[in-house]
Amino acid sequence: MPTIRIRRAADGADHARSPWRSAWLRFRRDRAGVVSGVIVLAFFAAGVCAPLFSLLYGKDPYQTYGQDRPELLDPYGFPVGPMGGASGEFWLGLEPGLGRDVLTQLLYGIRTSLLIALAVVLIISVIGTLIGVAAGYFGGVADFLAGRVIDVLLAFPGTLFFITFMPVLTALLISGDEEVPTAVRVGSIILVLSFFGWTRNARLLRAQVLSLREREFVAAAKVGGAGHWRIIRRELLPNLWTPILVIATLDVPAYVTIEAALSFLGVGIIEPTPDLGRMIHRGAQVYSADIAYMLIPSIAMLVFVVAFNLLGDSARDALDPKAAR
Amino acid sequence: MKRTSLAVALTATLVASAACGGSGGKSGENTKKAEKFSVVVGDGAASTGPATAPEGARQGGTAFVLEQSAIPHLDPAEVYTSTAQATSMLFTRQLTSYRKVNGQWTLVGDLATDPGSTSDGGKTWKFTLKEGVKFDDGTPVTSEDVKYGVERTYDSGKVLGPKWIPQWLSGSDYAKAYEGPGKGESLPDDVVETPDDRTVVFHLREAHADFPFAVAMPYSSPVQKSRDGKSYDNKPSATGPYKIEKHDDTKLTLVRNEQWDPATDPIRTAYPERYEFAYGSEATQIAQRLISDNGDDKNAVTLNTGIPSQFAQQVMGQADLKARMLSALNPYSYFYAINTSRVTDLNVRKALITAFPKQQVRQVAGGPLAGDLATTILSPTVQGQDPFDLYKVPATGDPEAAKKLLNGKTPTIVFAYQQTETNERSAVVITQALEKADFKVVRKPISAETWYDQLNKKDNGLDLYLAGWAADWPGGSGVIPAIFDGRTIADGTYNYARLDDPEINAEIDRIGKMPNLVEQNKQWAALDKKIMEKAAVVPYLYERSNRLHGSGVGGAAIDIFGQTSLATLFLKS
Repeated sequence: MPTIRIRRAADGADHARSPWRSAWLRFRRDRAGVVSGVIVLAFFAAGVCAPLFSLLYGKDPYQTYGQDRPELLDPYGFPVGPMGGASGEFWLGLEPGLGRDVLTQLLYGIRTSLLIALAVVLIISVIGTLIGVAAGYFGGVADFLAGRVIDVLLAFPGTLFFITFMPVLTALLISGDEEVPTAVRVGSIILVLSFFGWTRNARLLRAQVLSLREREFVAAAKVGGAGHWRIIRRELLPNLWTPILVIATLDVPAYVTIEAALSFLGVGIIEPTPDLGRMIHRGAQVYSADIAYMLIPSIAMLVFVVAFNLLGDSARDALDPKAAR
Repeated sequence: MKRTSLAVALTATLVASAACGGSGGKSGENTKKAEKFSVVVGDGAASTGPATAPEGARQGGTAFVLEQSAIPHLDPAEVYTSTAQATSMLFTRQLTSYRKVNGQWTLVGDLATDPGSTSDGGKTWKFTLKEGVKFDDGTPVTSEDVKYGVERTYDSGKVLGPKWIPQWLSGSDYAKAYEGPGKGESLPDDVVETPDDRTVVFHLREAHADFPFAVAMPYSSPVQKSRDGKSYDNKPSATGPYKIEKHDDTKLTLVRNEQWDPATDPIRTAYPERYEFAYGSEATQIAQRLISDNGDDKNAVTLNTGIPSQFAQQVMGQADLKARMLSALNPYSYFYAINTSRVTDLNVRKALITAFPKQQVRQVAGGPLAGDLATTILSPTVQGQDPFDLYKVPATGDPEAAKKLLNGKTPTIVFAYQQTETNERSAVVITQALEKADFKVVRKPISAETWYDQLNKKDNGLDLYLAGWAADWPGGSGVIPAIFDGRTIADGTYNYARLDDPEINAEIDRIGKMPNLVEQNKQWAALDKKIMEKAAVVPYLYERSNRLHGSGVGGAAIDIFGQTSLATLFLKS
């Protein structure tokens, strides 16, 4: 790990470069950051290219291969052969019971998790920024209202609330004979997570804005006759990008785990949509007969979350070199 | 709750378990082909104690019972679930009960000298109590105590127990005829009569040839009026070989009842000195402990916990484990009901039966250990069941044949399933199989809490859903009228297929009135076939009970309810 002193020295040499460019250079010097960046990119690529890969690999995550071909599973539904039935045909083996392909399940599961996590992070970043900046900048009644709403929302026991509220929300959105479309399920998960998620962003940004708005350049802009909107956009926001980005990079892995936890607890994504949390849940039930089925999604999730957190740390170090560790 | 209380049922047939022999090998078809015994009604000789001792039996020791959940009530008027009955067996004696005589299940007198006698074709039933039966305080059991026990079942506060006796004595609104003994009055003699200390006579409103079966549950046991009260539920007086030392949510300990005389008891041998029930373990934990077989777990059994599928291969693959597994069909028969009020086209219903992937669904549920694939409504455990296979479709389903039946149509099927993990996975298999046969499937997951409320609505808006049934005793009379009588269709009743067919309804009336039980059961089996001709359900599974026990346990068996029987259990050291 480079020490703070070295980085300060490096900063000195970066004077001529733009802040983003120098952040990039600092990031590139952080080996852990680069490695985790590559891993994270690989996960995104896996998620985005899952259908393409599935096409080339010739398997899809919905087909119950083990059911259609009895020789693949034993009579109790467990894959025949070591490592969960891994073979040249099914690279990571088969799912116990239904006999679906584990590799494509995993890739599509990553896709589901990332999609939900990114959507939530995008929404909470936007809402959190808007409310946080408004509260911090305008102060007074706006600050008071935002503060109390945040207090109330933070007082909810999150996980408990998700478990009770998810079925209620899906029940509200469906009626009659219609099957709940996967999009509605995904949408309601995103909605519920976002509803509680924005508070942290708002609080942090409000604090930032509170200190920024007293600074000379803001005062100068005010004296120069700039309107509120212009001040927020041109004076405050450019100084807020760093905290927004840093929070976002730390939020993505957090929401990947929360989404998995919801599915693990049975209120998230349901069959047949592939999902990492549900795979882990199922793995925990069958581990004594098929340890591979538990290890594969668990390790994938562990690696992703660790890599993304390290990436978040590195991003913060690169963007905000003065922040003490 | 509604369904579990109906779960209590009696098995007429046992399938010889793999534990008794057979190499099995790698294939999952572990069980040798069914040896079928129907229950017969025994005589006075079969009802005489002492019970037959199993080979190698010895006295003494403490037996441990590992269970997932506690039995909330010990009061005989509130005991209904199979597990509660199997537990109650140790300290409550009832008028009649089941035992195996030369390998055949036989209904015998437990407190009574024989399984009852009738002089007028089933309307009046007389039971004579055995001599020498005492409560745990030394008081002899009299016919008054039995009558008082029956009066308590009228009490509107005792909701959990079976209600056959009060219903048959006083009609379905029995509570209006008599409110229970709380007010100090007792049932009039023209309902239950006790001419002397050892004789009880029941005067039913209508003839019921199966009354001796209806009293083969703990609610027919004697209760001492002097000891009744609030604490009775937690510590009922004992007539069986054990009495209650301690009972709460986490454990139940039983110690010997010195007043019990083995010479009067044809069913129980009561070798262990003491029983310790431990409640609150997970199914996997129980299975793991019984597999590991360490310390006290050597002397442990479980009444209700099956073998989780992840242990199936291990248990079936290791000879020593397999030898410690009991396996038998239990009274449950499962089917996927087709809502005939919505799916009115017979060919569409036949196509559903043809396309249905029974075997795959069973594999998701754990494979052959889950049960035997069904082709009939009545389980082989039901007396007189006929194992016909009307549609002769492969167990994996035949989409091509189903397409032919559909003749180019693509009907939409609203397939509802309970949102539990196994059902979600089987929904994947079923949806795929039906879609292969050109059905359009609308999947409808319903949360486990609201499942029965939604399903039992008269117009539930659903086409296909899993349902199961088990009768309280092994005759067709407890199955077919309960789930196929079209006149019962209303909110909250159990005609899952919503079948209202005048021909079937008339048959139900005709067969129900037959005085001869054996003949009646044959007719129920024939009616089973007629209902299958109407393609009202897709038969799926005859459920199997698999129970592990520790290596120190001998004489254990699966009882008529599908639970581990403690009646003749002993500890080897």
